[in-house]
Amino acid sequence: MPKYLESSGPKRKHQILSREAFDHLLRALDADRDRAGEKYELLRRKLIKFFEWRGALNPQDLADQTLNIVADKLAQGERIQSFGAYCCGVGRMVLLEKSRESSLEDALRAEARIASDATETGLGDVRQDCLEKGLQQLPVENRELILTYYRDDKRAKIETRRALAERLGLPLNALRIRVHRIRAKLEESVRECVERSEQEK
Amino acid sequence: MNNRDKDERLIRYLLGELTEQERAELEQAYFVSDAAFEELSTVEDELIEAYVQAELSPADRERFERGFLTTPRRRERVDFTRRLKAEAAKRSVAGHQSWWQGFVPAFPVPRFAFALAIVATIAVALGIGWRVLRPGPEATEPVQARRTPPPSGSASQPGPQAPLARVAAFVLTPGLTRGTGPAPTLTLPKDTTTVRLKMEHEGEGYAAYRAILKTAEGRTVQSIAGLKPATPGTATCVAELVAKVLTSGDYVLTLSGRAPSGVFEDVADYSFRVVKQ
Repeated sequence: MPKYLESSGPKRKHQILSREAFDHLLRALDADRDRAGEKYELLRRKLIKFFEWRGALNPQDLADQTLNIVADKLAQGERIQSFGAYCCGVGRMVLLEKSRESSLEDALRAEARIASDATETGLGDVRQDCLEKGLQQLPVENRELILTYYRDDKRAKIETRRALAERLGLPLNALRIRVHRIRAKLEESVRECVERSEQEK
Repeated sequence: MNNRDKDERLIRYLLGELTEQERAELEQAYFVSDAAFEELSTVEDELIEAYVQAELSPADRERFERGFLTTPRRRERVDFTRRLKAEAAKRSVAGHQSWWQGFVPAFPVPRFAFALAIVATIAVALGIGWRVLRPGPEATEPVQARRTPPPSGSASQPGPQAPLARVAAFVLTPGLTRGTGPAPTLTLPKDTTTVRLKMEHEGEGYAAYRAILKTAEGRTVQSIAGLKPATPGTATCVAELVAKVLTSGDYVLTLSGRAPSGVFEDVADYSFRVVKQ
């Protein structure tokens, strides 16, 4: 069962999505369950990024809250033609509601802005270890690709990436997207590793 | 709208500079189109990278710091990018795995034993290098700029031809604060790719260190975590900087050591001047 369906204790303020509602949502996304799962994950990622790009401090919670609302609406008989557009609309409503509730978040954001001088918080060692582990866990060709891609600066960077794209037989834009996908997975695995380390303390 | 204008619009979105209507249109677009979402995410990666590499103009840097570094999650992303770049540069200097693979022999030597032999050889060479090249306390000139040869003799070398890595190594000792005499000058030869700083300090050594490099004006250039003592139990540690983050000018490097309580305490400040040839 995906982790967002499990109770995560007192931190979750909204209703946990029931198994039945989740299944109903998946069926509405796609008749094939595996493809439906992928579409669900992508929707969730888009929502997380949407909330992040809008400056929310807890984008994952808000994304789950949005998907809960969408699943509820579906269960109530709502017909949804475009899940992307629908989730976008619900997400904006959740954001609006959140911003009405919370001036505390604004204060926190202002404080975070003042403190944004790259000072380490004591998680430096953990993050470094997690990055090294994450790199090791990548398939060799992906690891080599991402390390080569990010190796250089300025002019050398442009040349390296051009040469890399030629070597792989890809347009430069396709290389950018490929590296972005590898990086996104690596970043997610590092984030999860850091969270696990924090929980183990 | 050409690509440049499109990218600028995406950047303005990421920095929170679009009107509400413009944001709504863009959000609708990326929720409906997976390609548009991926493009925006990729532009975000590149914007963060440009910031980390100090490639943004002062005005854009300010826009970024004001409009993007507003949540812990986003600052984590910047930290991740910084670490990834540093790791990539470090592995490039070390000539990392792909170079080593060129030296894996055809005959059956246990891989672990072979790798251990390589590591031991390099460790001895580095140890000798530090002892031979370490200047006296008053020295201010760079001790060595070594060229790391490119991988050679490797039939199947993955990736593009690696440019030569050039390392400039220095030893810093504390107590050289501004106003008490000229700060040491670190002269970086042309094409230096990595600056290796060995920091010595008084008192007991720590199990782990972090270092924060700032300009004389107080702007943070780089924060380096996860540093270990150069030799366990000694009051030294080594940090590596990608040379590109340094421009000619005055800097202060603040070294902190992790106490047994887990809290970092300031250990020493090192002032120095960088001159790039």
